Amino acid sequence: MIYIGVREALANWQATIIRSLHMAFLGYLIGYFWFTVTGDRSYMLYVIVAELVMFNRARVSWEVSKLIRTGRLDVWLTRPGSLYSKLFSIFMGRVVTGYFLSLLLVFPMFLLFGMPNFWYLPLALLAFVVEYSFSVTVGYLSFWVGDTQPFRFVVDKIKFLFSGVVVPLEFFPGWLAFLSKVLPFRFMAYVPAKAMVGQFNPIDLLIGLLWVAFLYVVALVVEKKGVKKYEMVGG
Amino acid sequence: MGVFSVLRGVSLRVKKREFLGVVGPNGSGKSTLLRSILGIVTPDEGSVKVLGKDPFKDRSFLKEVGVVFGNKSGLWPYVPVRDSLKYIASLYGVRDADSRIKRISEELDASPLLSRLPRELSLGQRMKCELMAALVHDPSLLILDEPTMGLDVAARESFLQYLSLMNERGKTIVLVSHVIGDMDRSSRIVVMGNGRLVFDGTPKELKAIVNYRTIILHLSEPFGGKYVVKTRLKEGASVDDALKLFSSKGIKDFEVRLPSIEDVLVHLYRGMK
Repeated sequence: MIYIGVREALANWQATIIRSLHMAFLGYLIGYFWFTVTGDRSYMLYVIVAELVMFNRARVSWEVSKLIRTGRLDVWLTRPGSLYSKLFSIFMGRVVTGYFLSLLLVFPMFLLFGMPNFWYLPLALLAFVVEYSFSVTVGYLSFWVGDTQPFRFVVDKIKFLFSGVVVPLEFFPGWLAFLSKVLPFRFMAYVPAKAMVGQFNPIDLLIGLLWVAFLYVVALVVEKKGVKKYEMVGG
Repeated sequence: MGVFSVLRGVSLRVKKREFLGVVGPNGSGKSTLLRSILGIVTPDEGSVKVLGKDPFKDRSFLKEVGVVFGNKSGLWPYVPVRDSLKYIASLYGVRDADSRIKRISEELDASPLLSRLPRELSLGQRMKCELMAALVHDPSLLILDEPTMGLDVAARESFLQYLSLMNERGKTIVLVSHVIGDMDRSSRIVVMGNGRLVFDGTPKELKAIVNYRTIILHLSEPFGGKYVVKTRLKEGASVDDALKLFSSKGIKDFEVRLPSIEDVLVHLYRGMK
């Protein structure tokens, strides 16, 4: 089922290369900044691994929003299964393929800054699923609001802040640290990246899985209400 | 329906193995009718049953329905057609997808298209692929929304011919279009206007609504063979009397035409205004 997404990702390999190079450059800059500030070289590796996960995220909210606004959703609704699950298989194929391509492209950076612990690679999958479930729900807002772009822009910034891609979450002051712990965003990059640089907490995995279950239920409820609201008037 | 009414007092029962054509001008509510049948648009009042199920409560009926949207592709532009079809087949739990795809593609003369990307295909080729996608799970009901929009005459003809074949094989077909020519093969036509059914009957009954005749006179002699005159007999006037009159004037080359379905629709739409 994920084959469609894999084919799409491979067809857009140029985009993956550009995204990976962009990510490698940003990762190097941000990582170097935290290395300079803390004197801890492991931040170079942490930021690169975190960026790898975040830059290959599903970006599903925009596409869902487009499906709803253009009425192309009709096609999806006339095939069996929930919209969530149909989109999931396609987006996961796309995301996982893009992730592995990026991993290959930035591999030389690992030779410079140290090898991540690849045993924790499956945690990237947890990050993708949390991000997918959250983003698809944001995309569903188009059932009620015509243009969700401003909303998506704000959500993206919050995601970047609380996922630990720019600022590792341990540097957050009191109340911000609390917020980062109670929100699901840290599972989108921080938790898998920390695990891959050697700081894995099994409780995080458990909490992450609970978030997956919770966001899945929220997405399905919003989808059900949204589809009822959906009315594309035609000819 | 919703903020404003799109459909009003529509009552329609489609029999098994029927080929129903739904025709109407833009904004007449035909696509909304189709979306209601598919359970996409929830009516404020009334009920819909498809294959014995309520499409708003029980979506399992979709396994028995194939849908083609003329202006909305169900394929992925960067994925070979065969792979898209296999994915769609998997949604319906089709086990012998390969052999099924092979058979439909051969029937539609579309085997060479299977390895191509939808974005490389012409509109006619793409519509064949969309039809394959709708038939891959062998549905008993086929619903098509403006599938011939933009197709050339040959592509349109072969598309409609295949629909006829599907109907002969026992599939129920609901074809929505604003092109009346698409309805030539349907066994029943429903005409919509302003969200209502303004006609429901056979193509023959539709034509009988307007009982005027058009006579086309080819004025060969004694008018020098230059002129063709199209004239219309008033309702109730005798065709025989008219032909006798023309013959007595030396006009031997003429043809009598019954009103086309287009003429009837114009008549119906005028009546609606």
